[in-house]
Amino acid sequence: MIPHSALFNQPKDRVFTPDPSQAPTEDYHDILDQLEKEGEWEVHRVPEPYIEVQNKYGRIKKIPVQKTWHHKSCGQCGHIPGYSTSVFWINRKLGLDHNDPTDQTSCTAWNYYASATSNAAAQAAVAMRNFSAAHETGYFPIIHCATSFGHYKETRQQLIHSPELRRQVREILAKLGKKLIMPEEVVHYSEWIHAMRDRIAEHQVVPMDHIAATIHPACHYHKLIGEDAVYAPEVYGNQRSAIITSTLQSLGVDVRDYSTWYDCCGFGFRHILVSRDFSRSFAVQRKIEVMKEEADPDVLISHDTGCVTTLDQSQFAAKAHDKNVGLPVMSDSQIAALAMGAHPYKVLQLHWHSTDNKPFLEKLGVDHEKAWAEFQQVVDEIKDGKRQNLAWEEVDV
Amino acid sequence: MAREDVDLFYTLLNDSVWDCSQCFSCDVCPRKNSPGGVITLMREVAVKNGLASAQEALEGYGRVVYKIMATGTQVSPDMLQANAFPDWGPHVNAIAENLEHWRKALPPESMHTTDTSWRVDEKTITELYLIWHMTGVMDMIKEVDEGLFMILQDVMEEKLEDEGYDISFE
Repeated sequence: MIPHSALFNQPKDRVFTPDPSQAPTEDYHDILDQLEKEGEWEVHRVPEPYIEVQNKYGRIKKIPVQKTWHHKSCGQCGHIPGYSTSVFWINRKLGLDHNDPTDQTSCTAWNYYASATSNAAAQAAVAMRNFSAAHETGYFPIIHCATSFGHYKETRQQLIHSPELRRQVREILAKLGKKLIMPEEVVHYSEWIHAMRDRIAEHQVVPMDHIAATIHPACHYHKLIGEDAVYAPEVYGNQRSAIITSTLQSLGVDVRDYSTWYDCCGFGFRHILVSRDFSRSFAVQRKIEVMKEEADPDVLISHDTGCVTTLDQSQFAAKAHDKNVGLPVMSDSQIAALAMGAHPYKVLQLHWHSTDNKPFLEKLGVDHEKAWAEFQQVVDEIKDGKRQNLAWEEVDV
Repeated sequence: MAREDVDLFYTLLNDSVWDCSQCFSCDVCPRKNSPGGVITLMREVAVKNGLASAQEALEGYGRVVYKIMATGTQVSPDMLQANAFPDWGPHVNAIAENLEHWRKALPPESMHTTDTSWRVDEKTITELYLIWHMTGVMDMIKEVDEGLFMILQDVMEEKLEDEGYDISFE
């Protein structure tokens, strides 16, 4: 007989208590250690201090507090640069030692998912070259892009199960003068923000308890090797990944649910570049309009390059078709930095975004006209040759 | 299916596989089947065999392939041009017009670049080219876009020669 409660309890009200001993998948930690003992690779340990969080099946995942090597995202740095800048700004604000490397390439996964013009050995070699470069600096890799994060987890899985691939990659790295180094954890930056959310909230200077938000969890964060995404009992009873929601709740934001939360944003890798009508239709009709109709949020927060790009940039053309759009989009790093007092243009760089975010800033009490004038003055001084650039020291608060 | 219905398999391989957005929302099978993963492999097959669909699907995508293979970052700020993204809004034009100065108005020094997303070390680029060479990726490029292959070949061989490597991608 179906329990009576099952008819009335919504799935999000039920709490799932994960038991690692019942996990349907192997624990990669044990295998990484075993392969290290067998001399297959060296494991790059998470530096202390670290924060322990839980992944989908209740296994412990270590998140480094500092000594982090920031594996940047090409889409973030290239097209929405306030995203990565906000991650660095929060590190600086909290006084944490971190590294912004130039000995880093893109993960190449965007290209692979879009064009298939790569192969397993090339992808694994690119990943392991980056990890080896991080190890050489003594800093631990933290991945900014969800696709890189998902792709690197898949690469770890392939390397774990293919001695031949390990041999190939080891040989390639040896020719580059590098060792095969596997990080103890593949960590996404939003997991770091999740782990640091209480310290971030301690520095909050912009109240957000009158703000409502919807979130979009990135597919490549929680669907690729989904067991290694972070969950928490206080967020939808362990039934959805915890990141973003947990951070927003720590900042006092009202996070509202909507029915198509599991759908992708429409990015599509090749579609966003060469078949954008697909991306735009999906983003607007399956995500933005549903959020607006069901949740009426002030802002949409995501945690990935492609999601923020697609959900934001797709709204301009849709407006011309009288679609129910006009929802500002930003990353969890940007809203966290904003809450901590970061400058909306010098740090968040909101002028690279498409959808009008001024009403949202006004609701927060942020004087965007004054802030824009301050930013414009910096740009004018650069143009006039009075200064070379905007320095970190000028935006620290 | 590939054995029983070759025509259907070929239709999928030569067309439908490029519709997938690779979000892996389909990865919910209790038997751990992965339709998105199968499509990924089918795309590789289409590229390796130089199928017309692969060439068509990747038409217009050459610049992106060039960016990642030659510069180390997949996309770059200077790709934001109004004629490339007319549907994204007028801010794209503002970005293009102010690109150099707006990039310098970014606090991270690593991002004061316009043709790459961040500054990539010369040594890193060399290592990337060596990876492409050792893994045969350029052979796949040649199958789908010989013109792009020749451009990449010139760039990479010259760079590697400057760094003391005598390497040919042929």
